[in-house]
Amino acid sequence: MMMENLLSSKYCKIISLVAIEIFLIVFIKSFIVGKSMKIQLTCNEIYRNTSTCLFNCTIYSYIPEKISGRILITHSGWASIYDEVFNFSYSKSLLIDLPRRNYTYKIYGGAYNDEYFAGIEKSIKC
Amino acid sequence: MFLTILLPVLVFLEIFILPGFVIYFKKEFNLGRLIIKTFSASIVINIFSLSLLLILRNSIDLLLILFSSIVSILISLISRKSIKSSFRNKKKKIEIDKWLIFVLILSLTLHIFLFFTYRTIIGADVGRFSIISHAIFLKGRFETNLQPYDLATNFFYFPSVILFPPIFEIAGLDSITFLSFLTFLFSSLYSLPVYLITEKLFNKTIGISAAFFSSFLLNPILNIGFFGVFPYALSIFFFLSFLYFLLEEKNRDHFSLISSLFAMSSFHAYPIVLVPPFLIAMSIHNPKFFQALKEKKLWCNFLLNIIFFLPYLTLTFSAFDVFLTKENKLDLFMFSSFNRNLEIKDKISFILFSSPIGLNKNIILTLGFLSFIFTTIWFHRKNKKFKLSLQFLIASFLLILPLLFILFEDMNFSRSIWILWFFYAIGFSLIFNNMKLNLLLLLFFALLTLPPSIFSYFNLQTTYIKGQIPWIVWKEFDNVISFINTRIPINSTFIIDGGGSGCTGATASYGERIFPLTSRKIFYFTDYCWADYDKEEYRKRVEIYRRISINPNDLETIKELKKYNITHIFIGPTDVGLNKNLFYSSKFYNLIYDDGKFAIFKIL
Repeated sequence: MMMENLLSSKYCKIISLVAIEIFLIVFIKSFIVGKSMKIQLTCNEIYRNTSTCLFNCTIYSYIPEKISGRILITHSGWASIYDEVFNFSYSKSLLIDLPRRNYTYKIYGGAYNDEYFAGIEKSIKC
Repeated sequence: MFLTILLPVLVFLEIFILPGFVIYFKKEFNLGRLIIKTFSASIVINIFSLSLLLILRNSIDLLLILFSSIVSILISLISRKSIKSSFRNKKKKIEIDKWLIFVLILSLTLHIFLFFTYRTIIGADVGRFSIISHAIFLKGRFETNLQPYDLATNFFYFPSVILFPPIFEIAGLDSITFLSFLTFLFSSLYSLPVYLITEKLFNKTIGISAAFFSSFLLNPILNIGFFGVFPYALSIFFFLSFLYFLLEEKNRDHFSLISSLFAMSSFHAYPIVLVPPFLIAMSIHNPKFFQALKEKKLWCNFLLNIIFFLPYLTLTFSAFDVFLTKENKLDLFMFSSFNRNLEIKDKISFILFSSPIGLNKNIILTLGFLSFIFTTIWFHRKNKKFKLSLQFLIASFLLILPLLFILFEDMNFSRSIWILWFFYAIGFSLIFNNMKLNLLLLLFFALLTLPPSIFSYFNLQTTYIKGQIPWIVWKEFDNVISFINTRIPINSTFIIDGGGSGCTGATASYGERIFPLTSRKIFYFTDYCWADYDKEEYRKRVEIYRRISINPNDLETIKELKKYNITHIFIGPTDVGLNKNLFYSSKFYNLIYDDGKFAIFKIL
């Protein structure tokens, strides 16, 4: 009985429409959201005292031309404690000092050019 | 005292009830329909009258409310003539179902209890729109330039969120309390559109059960709104109202159909992405459905509602392109990286079994999913009406799932998963549709306090956790606010812990509460997708905040603070950056308030 129902024209119609919908969404999304590219973000702690932690953070892109980049550090959700924008090709390193609070901060790296966008998220403890 | 209560009540009646009531009084005899029609019509008409009057005479005062009421009532009287009565038999009485009334009253009672327990809720959206509202209120005129109270020089956001809170401030109700009240009110009425839809698809008994489960167990307005995301939460009520009017095939009220869609967009437009799957499902349900699109009345009402929105769009037109900047796209990309990088199985699990805000896999949602799947199979053969309705629901469900899967990659759109709760409530109601037994179930949920049931909200943790700004305001915070209001000069400026960053939203912070409640300025940094501001200045402020967090004794930074006329440091118990201990020992600050949780230092 269920099989009969599934093969009935209405269910065939539903399944076809779902397939068309997926195709359309993927198509529209590539226009609206933009194409994504790959980036990497590394952060190494190089120094720590009673009040601060010093990190060396590097953002890497895999394309030779200059692109726009951003490194942002937040706490308590999205409260900013560090925010820097720059242009770079291949990689860019920044020295970042954060207050020592025994807390896990979120660090976000981002980059874009005319065509592509990229975003990455990591955690750093200080 | 009498006026402080009466005035906000009168303004509430004028904005949310009166225009719609003038249109539908003695024209609509179904209580549920009357309520949802009244809200939608009142909101769109008031958006028109308020923004039109602001164009003609830009002054936020009591006269604006008075003139706006007159214009709104005139429009309602004109609109009334074009509305057909829903009266079909000779009993000119409002149709009332005792169980529905019971569900509504119980829901209202529980929400009132929640409102008086926590009084105000606050999250990123309540905070940010309270800042805008208070800035407009202090300026006494509608301006999209919020300086000197905020960094934003221009902004665009949905009209109800921007226009109504300052009106209530004029009436004497602070925007945080107003927005909390509005969230609880619409949350308590959420079951109404759910009831109307389910009653239309199945029958009254199942409709009441769906209203019951939606209200107490699977209420997305409560779940999203409680955490401060009130614009999106409130738009859900109108989205479901729209869906109901869409399902009304005979004697469709085109005005209500379109005004509910516009009322939804007046709070938040994002639920609109969920409309196409329902439209396609409707066309499967009723092959003649798309013929309705040819009806002249539908397009006339669409045009009318666009006209209602035009004055507001004119007021905020200059900020339309803010959303499209590449910096903002990047921002969304960065903040969505967690959602995007999840494995497929985790994504599916999040979408099907988790709450749109802050709740991972959950037993009630899992049971809801299973009951929906079970009922679509089991009840399929019950009768023709059930079969057709279930086909519509299955089609909608199947069309929505891939959409949610793709939307989930964007943090702002990922909350669309609430729509599944609507299906789950129907799944539950098809199985448990004996209301007397359901009351026993309610008792069970009340005892277990399982999230996302309404009872889980009565049990909120009252301890402060570092890095987690509380969503509700505890008694101690009221004391600080009262201290600031009475003991700190009005021209003071506070630096607080953290400001907003990112399109996805600023974190709730104490600053978002201090400014709307005390009018003392906040050295706050804004970074919203929908606002224009000096980004370099924004970064400069973040940098000053970072430096003062690391070392409050740094003379260069103290000089910078003074350059910005910052007079006080406010530190709460959950703060991460600003640390009380570092300020206690400093000779550059004087402790003027300390209750063990909150501390205020004056810069010497």
